[in-house]
Amino acid sequence: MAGVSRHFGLVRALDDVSIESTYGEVLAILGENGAGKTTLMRILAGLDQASSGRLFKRNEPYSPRSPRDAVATGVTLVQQHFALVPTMTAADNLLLFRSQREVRTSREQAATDLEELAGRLGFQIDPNRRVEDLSVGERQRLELLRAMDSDPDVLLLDEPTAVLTDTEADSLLEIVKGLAHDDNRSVLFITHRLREVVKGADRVVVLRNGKVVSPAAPVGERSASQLAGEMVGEAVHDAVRTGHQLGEPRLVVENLTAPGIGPLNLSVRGGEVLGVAGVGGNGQAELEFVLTGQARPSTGKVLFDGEGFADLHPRERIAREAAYIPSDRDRTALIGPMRCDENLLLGRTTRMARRHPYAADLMDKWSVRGLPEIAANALSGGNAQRLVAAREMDGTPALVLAFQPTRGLDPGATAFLRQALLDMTTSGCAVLWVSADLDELLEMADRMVVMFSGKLVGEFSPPFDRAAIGLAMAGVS
Amino acid sequence: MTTPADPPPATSEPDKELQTVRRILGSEVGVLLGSIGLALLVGAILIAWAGQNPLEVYRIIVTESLFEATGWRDTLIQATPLGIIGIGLGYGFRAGVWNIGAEGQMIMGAVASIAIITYIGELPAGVVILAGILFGILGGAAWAAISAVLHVRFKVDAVIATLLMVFIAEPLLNYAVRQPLKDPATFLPQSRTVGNGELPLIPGTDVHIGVLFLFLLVPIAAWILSYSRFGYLIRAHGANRYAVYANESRPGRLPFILLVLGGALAGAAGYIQLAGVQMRVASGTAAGFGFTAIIVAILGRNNPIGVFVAAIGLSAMLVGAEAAQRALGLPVALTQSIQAIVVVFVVAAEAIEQRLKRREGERLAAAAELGVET
Amino acid sequence: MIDTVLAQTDILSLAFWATVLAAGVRLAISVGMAALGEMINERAGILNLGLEGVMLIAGFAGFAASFESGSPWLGLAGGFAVGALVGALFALLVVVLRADQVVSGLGLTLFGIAFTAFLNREIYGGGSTPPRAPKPGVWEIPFLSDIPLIGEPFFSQSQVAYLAIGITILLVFFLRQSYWTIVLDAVGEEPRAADAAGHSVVSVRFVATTLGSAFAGLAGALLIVGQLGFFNTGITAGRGFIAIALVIFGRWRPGGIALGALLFGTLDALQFRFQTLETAVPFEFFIALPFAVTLAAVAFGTRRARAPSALTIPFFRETEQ
Repeated sequence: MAGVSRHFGLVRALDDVSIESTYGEVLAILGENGAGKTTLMRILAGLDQASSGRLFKRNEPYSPRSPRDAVATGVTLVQQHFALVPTMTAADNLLLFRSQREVRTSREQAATDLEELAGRLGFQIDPNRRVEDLSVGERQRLELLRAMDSDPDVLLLDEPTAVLTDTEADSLLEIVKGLAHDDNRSVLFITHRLREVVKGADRVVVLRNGKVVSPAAPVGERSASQLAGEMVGEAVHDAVRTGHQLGEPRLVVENLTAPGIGPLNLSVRGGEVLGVAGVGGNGQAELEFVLTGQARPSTGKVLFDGEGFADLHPRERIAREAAYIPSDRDRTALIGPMRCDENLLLGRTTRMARRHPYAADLMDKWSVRGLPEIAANALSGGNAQRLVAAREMDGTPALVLAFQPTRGLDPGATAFLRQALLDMTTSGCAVLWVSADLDELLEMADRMVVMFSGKLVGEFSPPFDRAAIGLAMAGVS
Repeated sequence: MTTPADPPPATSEPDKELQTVRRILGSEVGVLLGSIGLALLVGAILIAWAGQNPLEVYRIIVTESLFEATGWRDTLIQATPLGIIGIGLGYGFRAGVWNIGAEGQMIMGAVASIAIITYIGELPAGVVILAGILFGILGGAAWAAISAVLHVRFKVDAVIATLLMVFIAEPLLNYAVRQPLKDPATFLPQSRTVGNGELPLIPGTDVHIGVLFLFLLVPIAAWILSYSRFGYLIRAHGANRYAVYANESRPGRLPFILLVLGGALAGAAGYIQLAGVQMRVASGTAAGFGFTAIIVAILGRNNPIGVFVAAIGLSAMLVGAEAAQRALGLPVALTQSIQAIVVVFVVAAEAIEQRLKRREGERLAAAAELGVET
Repeated sequence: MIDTVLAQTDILSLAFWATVLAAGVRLAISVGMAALGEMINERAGILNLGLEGVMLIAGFAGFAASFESGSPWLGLAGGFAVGALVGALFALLVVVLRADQVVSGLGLTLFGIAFTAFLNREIYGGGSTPPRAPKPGVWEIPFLSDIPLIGEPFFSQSQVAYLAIGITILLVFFLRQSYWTIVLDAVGEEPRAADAAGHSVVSVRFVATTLGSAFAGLAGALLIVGQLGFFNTGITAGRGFIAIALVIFGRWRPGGIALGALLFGTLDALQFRFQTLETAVPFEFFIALPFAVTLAAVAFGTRRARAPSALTIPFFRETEQ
């Protein structure tokens, strides 16, 4: 492809990207969240169209309008999120993806086909088991089989190992390598894990902020730390934190496990910002739910000022002055169709009758542009996040649990939120700051831990070693 | 705290947003009236086909049900159970909790009422009436609580959990009036009359005081929904239950309360209909009020005042239909058909409106991204 | 009301059970067919609470066709066709416009009850002695109908019973073998996956709703044209709602629904007999029992006993304009 761009509004998800892949090789596309990897894959697979630029396949112009188009020309995509029907068997899921011309295939035939296909790829799968009874590794292999069913010559994999254990991931990468080398296919796979690039790819290209920062080159040519540096960028901000006292540990997490995460151990002291770095999807969401009472921990303890803090009623969390900035603002923090002043009441004890003056004050104080009586979903992202901050952090919270607090915000709101979070610490508040934006944490955190595959894989203190953190984020310890 | 300086809000921006709010509000009422008008037009064609003059029929329906004393009385009396149940259901629907089993809850309210009245019927009227309404509320609430447990604890879909309980309540009613609560004085399967439990008439009228219950309930329910914490939670739960669960309340708590509340009001309506109109309980005592109330709630947009208007409207159509049958020989069934057509048209219009709003929302979001704020 | 056989007092005799079972089969036919239809649209994620209305409208249309032409078979075909037509209109409402399924369905039921009452009055006078249309005959299968216990219920029935049983067997067979079953279930369980596989969720739901309603229409005709031969206001007497419970009871499988229909029908037949007997258990118990069992089955059942995940949830594509 040459010079492909994709704009969403003013946001450039992809900016003049040119990548060339050849047959018989595995090309890894390395990048962190928001680097534009997934957009690129969607364009290639016909799920999205490029705003400008052109695609070529075997020197022919290639412009798929739908996934069916793409499949017909021999390009298939395995998406990051499983597109499987959990209540149906593996074979039925294969059949579902076959085009209508092949409706005469019986279910028995589909089962045989699936087993045969699996055999050719060198593993086994029980075609008659329901998807809901399969392990995630098996599901991922089933997705791969389904993509291979149409015998494509270009195979696209979007974070194929995101939910897999290392052993599962290794065996998948082995299979994928075989598909490229033995049958002369072109495989492109997206990942943020360096280990897998080294293990599974022949060449690697690095994307950052929608641009190619490092053109495709054989994997061995660059060191792991070089690649990690390219992935997370080199920008350095030496912001100095205003002097503040670190107090006693306030939030303490001991041997915490829950589905998808753990065991986790961490503590945040009064007046401290603990940054939790890591590429999204490595257990941050699960951590968020457990810390805020939306999910129960399986084992382990969460203590705040020495008292149990897990599985709290939301009002109890608020009564203990724990502010919560959720990662999914629209789902967890705001009630879109309701008025701003009513949104400010959520979980608070302010009376309904006082909502308007209360909101007017608060919105003024926190620079939320808008009126108390307009619906929250009429606010821009930056204003909506200020509204959430106003509700959660006004006064003197004792603890702030902030999850991706600045993701997707404009620069003004980002600066505002960062400053507000830092200001919390002057009164001895403990701040847990989960972010996928490493630059942000480098600038803001007093201490940093990295989350990878549901575990905390490293602890860092200033001066932060950017390269070391980058390696930890990519799963290299 | 210190905050980075922000430019003062542009004066035109809130105005624009307010305008959007107004436009959406305006269109909502417009769409509602438009769809009702369209449905009446279809109805007019049916009336013409039946050999009547549609305008004349509509005129009779309106005047006989709303501008004649006896018509008014009947309209009010019929609207009372519809409105009371509709308000309770509307609360639930507003929160996204689909209680469609009010028919059974109303039955169980009536059965519980007549049971206690049969037992203590000799006491003074005031005591019997109080006990009657209390047991009506308890009966309906208890019946709804079974559905609520099934829904909240066992994750049975609310539609299924409430609907199936109707078909258990009906045979239970039939058994109750055939065996334990049967009036020994007759051979029919029916209970004794309510006796001292009968609702007195409003002085100077021939309307029973149960109607006042509705008139009292409407403003209270409207106030609660708009201005109280509970009403706030109902609206919040309907718009985004996850935000409520993260910040206010445990999952399932509000659905449970709303199902039980809906049952309690249906049970109260069961007693009022029993002690104000029917006088005894027999098979088919709920007479479809529980189902029609669903329509009332939807047409009233789940808002107590809207529900009241819809209850009066639907009730007036039925009363007017009977008048039209008497005056012109036009079958009541035709007017009932037109009523159903109105429902379908309103629901369709609402769906179209939702789609337009979605698009409007996307347009606004796109506009925001294009630089309203940067 | 359908059977007038005198109650047998000897509950333990084979003849008693043969009679009860025969009545059970007769009572199961219409409600079972309606439930099979509802199963189809529910498996695509569409709940049709208007089943009762469809049965009445299509049943009335079928009766009119049968009465005017003198052929009950034409009436049955008419019921099927009108059921499909009503289903297509309902699908337009809930699938294309994505209107609320619960309210739309209840609206359809109310409309069906009132509109057929109106038409019946306009066309056939609506009196207490309605005109009668010819019914299909009884078909006694030689030898088989003489088998004790099962001979009377299964091999000495009206021809419509064999039609219903035949359709049920065909459906069981078709749904077990077909590619379209997979598409249907995918649309009802995980519409996003079906969409990703290139199937149009809206089209599949439209067709399923139309087809489901067609079978419900046939069910109405089976009752009114095939078994009763006359029409009366609200003659389906709640069978549409019972059919909806039956779909749940049968766990969205045709075999389960057929068995459930037989069970519901037999319990119904039993309670008819118990009405005239003084038994320890009130006969109403048998009317309520199927619903209680259904609820318990849903509450305590595994995931597989649960409704299709996307039931009543309209489908919007994330990127849709």
